[in-house]
Amino acid sequence: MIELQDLCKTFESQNGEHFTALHNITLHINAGEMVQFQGVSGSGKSTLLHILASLLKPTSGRVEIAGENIASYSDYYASLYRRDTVAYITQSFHLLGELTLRENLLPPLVIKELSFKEINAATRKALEIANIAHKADEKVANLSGGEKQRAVIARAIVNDADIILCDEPTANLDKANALKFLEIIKELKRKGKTIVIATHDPLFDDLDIIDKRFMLKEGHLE
Amino acid sequence: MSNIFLSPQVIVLLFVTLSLAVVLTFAAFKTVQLIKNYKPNAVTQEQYTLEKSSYLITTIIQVSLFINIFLLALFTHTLNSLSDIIPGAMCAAGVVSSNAFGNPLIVLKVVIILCSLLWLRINKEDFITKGHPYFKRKYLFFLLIFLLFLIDIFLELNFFAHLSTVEPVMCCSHIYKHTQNSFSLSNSSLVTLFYTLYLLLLLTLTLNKRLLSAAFSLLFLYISYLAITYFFSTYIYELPTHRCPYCILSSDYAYIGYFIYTSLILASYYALSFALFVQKTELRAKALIWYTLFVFIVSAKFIYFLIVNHTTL
Amino acid sequence: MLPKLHFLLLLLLKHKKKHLGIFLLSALLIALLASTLFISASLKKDIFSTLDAQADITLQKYQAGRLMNLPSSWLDEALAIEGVTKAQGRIYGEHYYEPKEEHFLIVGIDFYDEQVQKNLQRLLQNIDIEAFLKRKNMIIGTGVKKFFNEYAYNDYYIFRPPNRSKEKVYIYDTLPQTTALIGSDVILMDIEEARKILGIPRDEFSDIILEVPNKNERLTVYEKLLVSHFNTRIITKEDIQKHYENLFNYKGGVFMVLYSIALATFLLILYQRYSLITTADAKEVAILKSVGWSIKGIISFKLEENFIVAFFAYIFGVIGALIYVYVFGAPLLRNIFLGYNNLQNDASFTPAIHLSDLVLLFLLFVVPFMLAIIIPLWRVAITEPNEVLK
Ligand SMILES: Nc1ncnc2c1ncn2[C@@H]1O[C@H](COP(=O)(O)OP(=O)(O)O)[C@@H](O)[C@H]1O
Ligand SMILES: [Mg+2]
Repeated sequence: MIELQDLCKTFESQNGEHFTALHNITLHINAGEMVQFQGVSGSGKSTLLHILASLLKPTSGRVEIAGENIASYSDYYASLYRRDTVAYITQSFHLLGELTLRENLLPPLVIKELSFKEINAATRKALEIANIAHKADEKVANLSGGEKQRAVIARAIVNDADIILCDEPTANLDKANALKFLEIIKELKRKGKTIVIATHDPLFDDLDIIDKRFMLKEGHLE
Repeated sequence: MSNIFLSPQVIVLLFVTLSLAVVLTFAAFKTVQLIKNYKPNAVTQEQYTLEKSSYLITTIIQVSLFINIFLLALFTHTLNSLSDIIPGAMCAAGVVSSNAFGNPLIVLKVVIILCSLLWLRINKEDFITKGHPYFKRKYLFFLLIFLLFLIDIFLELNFFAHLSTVEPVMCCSHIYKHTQNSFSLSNSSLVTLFYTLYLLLLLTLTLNKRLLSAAFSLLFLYISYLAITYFFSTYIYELPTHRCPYCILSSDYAYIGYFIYTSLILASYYALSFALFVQKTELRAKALIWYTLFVFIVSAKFIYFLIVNHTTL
Repeated sequence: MLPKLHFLLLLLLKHKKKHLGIFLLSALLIALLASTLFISASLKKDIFSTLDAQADITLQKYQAGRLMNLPSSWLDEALAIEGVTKAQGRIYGEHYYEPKEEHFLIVGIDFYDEQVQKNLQRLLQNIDIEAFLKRKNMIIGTGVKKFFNEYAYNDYYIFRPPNRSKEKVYIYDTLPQTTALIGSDVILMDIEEARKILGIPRDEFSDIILEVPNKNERLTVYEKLLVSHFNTRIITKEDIQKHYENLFNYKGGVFMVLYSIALATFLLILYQRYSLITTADAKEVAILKSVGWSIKGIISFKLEENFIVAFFAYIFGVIGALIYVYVFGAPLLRNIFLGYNNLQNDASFTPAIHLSDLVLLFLLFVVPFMLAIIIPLWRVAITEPNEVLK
């Protein structure tokens, strides 16, 4: 499903300095697997996830998803990939604060030429999976931290993506909400989704549903 | 300076054209950079930056070409209303032929519109195809259109500068008074040619004869202009001596001219884009529909007249 | 398509504040131009409906570049030309009221002429010509009436002709409001009375008007008149019309040039304003991209969003201008167009709205508006999402 080959990412700052955040990453993730990237802050986890989400282009190397190198995609195909194949869940909850939860689920749906009926059906389903249907018409600015994260999950999965990327999903949550998150993620794995989690939260350390663990250290895979 | 430049329509026309020229010049410069440095399928940082600037260029071109289409309508309308302040002129025909720049300008504008429509179509195909197969070609094509656009501005400025509000010009019935057109075709052979070409177009398009239908569609464009001017317009005006391709654009005839010319240009565009670029049956269907619609609107009054009076004008 | 529009309007409503400034400024600019277009179209309509009743050819005598009275013998000469069906001498001139530096235009008319009677009856339905001619009467324009009323001349006015006599003329009626535009300072009276007040000798006229019903003969008549006397000026109806058309074009054109400069300034402001990329903008773009929007999609979306703003500004501006011109009578702006009149001109505007003017205005405003924001919007659309989505 996911195949990385000699993936490198070098950032160039405004004053011309180069910084390599990822060095020659090569790895393989099967469909339906749940994998975890571990590593301290600054080790390159978010950068890797951004590349997987096609929000960032690698400097070199291949990023093959289902046999296609998404690094060579034009923006149009990258956007289709982000729309249909991959869901991206951030640690800080990026939502459109002035809109209600239901309205926040519109952006991934309106670009798909769907009817209002289909949009409503997809919204309802996603809200149920993310266990947040009861807050559908609440303004998201008024939601609690845990609820906001479930809102982000609902939006991420509303187009039924195959790959789900989570960047530090539990960093801003209390224990109770973190456990709720685990429930949702288990449910998604049961549905056959490929799940990639980047975290150094000990909560994940002895979780038996995780199939593979990768350790990142200063941009190198160990 | 000619006081034509103080006519509100002309000012609007020039202001809008000028703002188009500014953004298009910017886009043209960017395009040259793009063509020079673009390497298909390369995955370097430079390529990503180039790709991003290609979205800017494409947007500018798209919006500008789209606007340009409306400007043609504004231009013809301006010509019609300028005939109010130019002695002798009854409609745009007198204004257009009052100096040497008018007729080339009109022809050029039609060519630009057709090219623009084709460009928009190629761009659309290029955008949704992996690997951007038309990338370089479409930007080269744009540079060509840009060149035409510059010539267009040059002609347009000269055209207005040489319009006089004092010297009388000829009116349309004078300009087109000769039944003889440039091919020395008689009216009956002109009309026969018109309908024959229409049928040939339908045939070649349906049979996928690409080059042939492209050639026919260009020829048909010209023959249609002649047939409208020398034959069909007289039925619209209901006056055998009134021959004019412009008066049909006025409100006196319910702006029917805009429908006629729009359908003709759209039909030519679909036919050409089918014949020259993208083999999509959807395009061919649209070409057939628009051609038929055009022929129908143009000949409606003629046929009506035939049925009622059992004779021609 | 519809859900996308729904989302677009949703965002637009939520971001009202962000667009308000540009919206108001746009609406104001549009209202300004729309008002002048409406005013000028109304004036044109009034003037042209008046011009339609003008004589086919007017013959004047010039000497040393100044308009002179012409001898009545010219009348017969003109009538002798083939194609001329009627020739009529006219008496008119300015009456100057020194203390207030006011001019009136005194026009003498032949009340026995059938055509004149018909025209008058069209203007003033219940005019009784016989009663009018029984004593020294006059019909005055609205501006004149206002002036007379100010000096308590409610029933009559005493003119002082050049020969130092006194002429007391009664006010019979006032011209209708529709003629106020060019008839505001006019006084109509019997031709002989006008002669007396203006001091024009018996065998002279101010000018001569000719009727040449056949359009094709006008040119030959024109040529014959031209060779008969050298110090003449011959004005045809078309001349007058083209003259006014050019005059309006000119006035409108000067305004348009000034306006274009204002518009260009506005576009610069627009460009600056849209070039500021706020963190909220960057966040919105990052969110949209992360859920599958393309750069092209975002640019189109933002262009559509701003098109709607510009479109509504246009609608608001045009409606505002309609109210300003036709309900309130365009205070301030009217002076630009009516400034050439000596007496205070209280014409109200006859509605004359041309679709083509509205289209013109739309193009002039919306096209540069959209072009000015493409580059800033593109900059917003290409902001990198990875910086924001941490
Ligand atoms: N846009 C950027 N420009 C320059 N350096 C960056 C940029 N994004 C991330 N980095 C650097 O790359 C390294 C990895 O960052 P990140 O992937 O966010 O780590 P993690 O998510 O593991 O904390 C850090 O040292 C960070 O400073
Ligand atoms: Mg991180």
